Amino acid sequence: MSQLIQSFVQECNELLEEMESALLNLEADPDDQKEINALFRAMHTIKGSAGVFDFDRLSKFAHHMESAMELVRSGERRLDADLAALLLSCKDHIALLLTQSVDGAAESDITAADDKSRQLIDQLTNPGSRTEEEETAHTPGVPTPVAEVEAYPSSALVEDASRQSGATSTIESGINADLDSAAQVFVQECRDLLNDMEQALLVLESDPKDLEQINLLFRAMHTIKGSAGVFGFDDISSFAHQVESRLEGIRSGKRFIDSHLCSNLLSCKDQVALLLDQSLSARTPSVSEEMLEQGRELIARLDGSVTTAGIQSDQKAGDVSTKTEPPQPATAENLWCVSITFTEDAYRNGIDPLSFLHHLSTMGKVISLLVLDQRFPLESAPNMESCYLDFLLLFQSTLSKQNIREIFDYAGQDCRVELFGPEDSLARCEALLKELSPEQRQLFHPLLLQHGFITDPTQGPLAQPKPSREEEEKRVESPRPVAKSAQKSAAFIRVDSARLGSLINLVGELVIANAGVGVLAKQHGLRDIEEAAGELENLVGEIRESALQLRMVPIGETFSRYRRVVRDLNCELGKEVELQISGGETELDKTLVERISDPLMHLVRNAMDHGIEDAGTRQRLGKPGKGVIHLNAYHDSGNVVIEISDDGRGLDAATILARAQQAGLVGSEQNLSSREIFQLIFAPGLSTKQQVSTLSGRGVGMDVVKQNIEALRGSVELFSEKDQGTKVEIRMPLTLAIIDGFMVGVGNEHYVIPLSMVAECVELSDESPVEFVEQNYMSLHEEVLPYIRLREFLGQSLAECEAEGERPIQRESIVVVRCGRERAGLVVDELYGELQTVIKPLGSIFQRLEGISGATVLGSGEVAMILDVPSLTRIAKRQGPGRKEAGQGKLN
Amino acid sequence: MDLDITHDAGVTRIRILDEMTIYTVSSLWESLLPALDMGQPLELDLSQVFQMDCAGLQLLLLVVKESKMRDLALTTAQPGPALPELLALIDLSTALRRSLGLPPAG
Repeated sequence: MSQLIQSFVQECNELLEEMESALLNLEADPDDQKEINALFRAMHTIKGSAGVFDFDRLSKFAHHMESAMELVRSGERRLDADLAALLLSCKDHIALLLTQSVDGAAESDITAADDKSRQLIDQLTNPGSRTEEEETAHTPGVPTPVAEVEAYPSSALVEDASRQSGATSTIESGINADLDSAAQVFVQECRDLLNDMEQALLVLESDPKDLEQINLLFRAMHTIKGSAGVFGFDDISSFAHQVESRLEGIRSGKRFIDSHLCSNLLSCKDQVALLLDQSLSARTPSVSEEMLEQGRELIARLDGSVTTAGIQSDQKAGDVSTKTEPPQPATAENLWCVSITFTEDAYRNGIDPLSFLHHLSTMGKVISLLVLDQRFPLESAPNMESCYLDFLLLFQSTLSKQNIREIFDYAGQDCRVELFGPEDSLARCEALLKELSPEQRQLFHPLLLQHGFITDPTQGPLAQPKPSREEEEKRVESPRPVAKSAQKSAAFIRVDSARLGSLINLVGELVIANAGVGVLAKQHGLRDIEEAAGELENLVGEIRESALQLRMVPIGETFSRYRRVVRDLNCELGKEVELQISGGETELDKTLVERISDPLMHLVRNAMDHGIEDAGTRQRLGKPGKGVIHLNAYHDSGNVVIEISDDGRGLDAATILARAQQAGLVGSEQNLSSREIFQLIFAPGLSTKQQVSTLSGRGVGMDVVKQNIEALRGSVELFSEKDQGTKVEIRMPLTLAIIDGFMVGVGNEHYVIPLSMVAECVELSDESPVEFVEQNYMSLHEEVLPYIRLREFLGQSLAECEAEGERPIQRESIVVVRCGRERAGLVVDELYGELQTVIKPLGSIFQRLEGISGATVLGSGEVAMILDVPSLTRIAKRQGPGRKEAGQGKLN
Repeated sequence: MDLDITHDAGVTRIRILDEMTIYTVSSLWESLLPALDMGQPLELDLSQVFQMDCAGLQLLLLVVKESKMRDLALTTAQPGPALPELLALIDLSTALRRSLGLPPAG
């Protein structure tokens, strides 16, 4: 959820920015239909997404704005300067609502915002009240979003924090906007873990006995707790700790998972995500009282669903850490005497010993903590930025020695930790006490005695001052932060995706340079160099493969995000829909995955809201009450295909056609196949106004889906059967960067066909199996195959070539290409063979060029066009006798 | 100005107006030292100290220590929001608590 909400926030912010620029443009040119549409779409998307996330206030407000925009779009209302100003302040208000919805806000602020909402809506719906509107739009008291963020000044936060517990984050000056990189890794890791948890919980919901998932849950929480503590996110750490101890109960079999508990744990998971977000966005690591209250409530709910045995009430630990300090099973607790020494440079290295101590206090019970200031330089002037303090504490916890040491790992060389339990040698305690001032000894000695560190009260502080050999060794080897984390991360390395991007660019250049060497060697007849260049080419090919592989990720992760969407929408819409996922292991380029997730989300949402009928209707139609949405992915000849299918009501071709005719997209006399009609869904402006709800209406936004997919050089098609369901098929290339190509020659030009689309090559000679049936159809292997003569299509006549002194074409060949289910033949003059092809995008002026999808640079420095097989196939199929006119572009 | 020093009937009142953290301790100490050198009883007002880290705590302990060395009486008028929280975590010795004018640890 956190990821989803975050992407939502990001998306909203982007949309709001777009809106702002659109409004500003509109102020200059109120009739710019493109901007009006952009505005409308932005509003529509915000409304829809806000609805999904239950941000009702935001969604409602956006809905009103959308309606107002609808009037403008249909021309019923003119967008004059006043309205533009009003819309701008509405836009600001949305930003405010967004912040409030996501980050939470004080009751009074919410009320104020709601009043403002009503006011703005009023003005939107009653265009009459101009003057008032102007006033409010510029009222200084109106909180801008920025002001809202700062409405939690740090001092207020601190007050909050001090109210809520005895010891919180004022001790932490630490984590703020500029997180150090380690903390960023933590945040990333945390998000990943939360994702894992969500998956595990969803699995557990259907199979509560899956021990592996339970362990996974536990481990995830445990890790979050640990690392949050290290980075000073104390509120997260303490919350995670509490959840973890509940999970421990489940793991040990004391409790069983049921759907109720799953829901609660999911909310807990969300809570961690929210805490994380809030800690990141706020200037301090502490969070608002509401959040903490919410956390306590969640924990109470976790406990409430079952009576856990053996809860021990927390005693003194209560005021030491947070009030909600979880009960610890008494049996497993160990007592430790911990001595912590910091180097003088600790503060300067950004280490605040108190935050470690505070973290420690959330992991157990601090019986006593002494501050030792023996190191103060009394003769010379002290440097206040040097650390002179040491700490000694008695600590009761379930943690092992190793666990406690790990807490201090983060401080690295700046910190030395020694700890021992009562069973360890007496000599240590005595050595310790020896170092204390009389006053401190007085304080600490009885405690050691009481907890069994020292047995004989008379002996105590006076005996054996020397530390044991064993202890000396411990001192040396104690903080080894690197070893363990290195072990943990051995399997994976996190790499900045920008670095991968530049690697792939370089590999692309390498491919081109390598081809250049090959060409030169051939030109100069250097046989041995040619051989070496061939070897190099193989290696470069492998490098290219593995470089691209680095960016490949399975799509399953993206798919499984929608499980939560479906689950939540189920609750909201009162439907029962199951999301089936297959082909999750299908891999594709990470950038593609990222960019496809929004369109997919839209399609899933559509299927949920409009595709699947409610249970009653389904039963009447004789379908199972539970609807199914199926996400599937597979590789198909160098493409990846993603299918979203539902078994819902399907689309009604007649209705769509009627609407399209209304909108003037098709003439009334045009005869369209049902497949063509369904494609109309993707046309801009085909909106189904009757269905406007908090979720998107089928139709609106489908044009954006199509645009997004086409921007990835993909295509989208929709199949639907009334009452049987709908299937949307998205077809995309695996990667955007480098492909294996097949080079052919037409006239004196070179062209590249993506190798994955080449089915076979056949010579056009007398013995060939080709038989021409008609001018643009041939028979190959006794099958009818449409074909294009590329020379004609590309506008090069034979005469032209010969006039240029070209050697005469000996024999033509036909390259059979396939695209999905279609096949077509391309007649070319020459076959050159395979070629590693770095795709260079064409400039925007060539974008409308049919039949060409990009260009590449050959080894000789020449430019070769990459043929767009899907569009060529289409052209070949539809070509009638007048095909010469179909060839649109004369290149070069 | 991160602190406010007034002399009043033989008592030096020091009101710290800033956070007591690694970022401020050096300048605070420089301003505090002359006050200590005045040789008058000190009254420390920490009511405006909203944030205190380990360096701040160290500064406080140093003030206590220095005033003791100079035989000056030290009282803490307003513990402020940050200190009690810190003290909930840390046991200062009873004597130290007394010298800061705080209730003994319970």
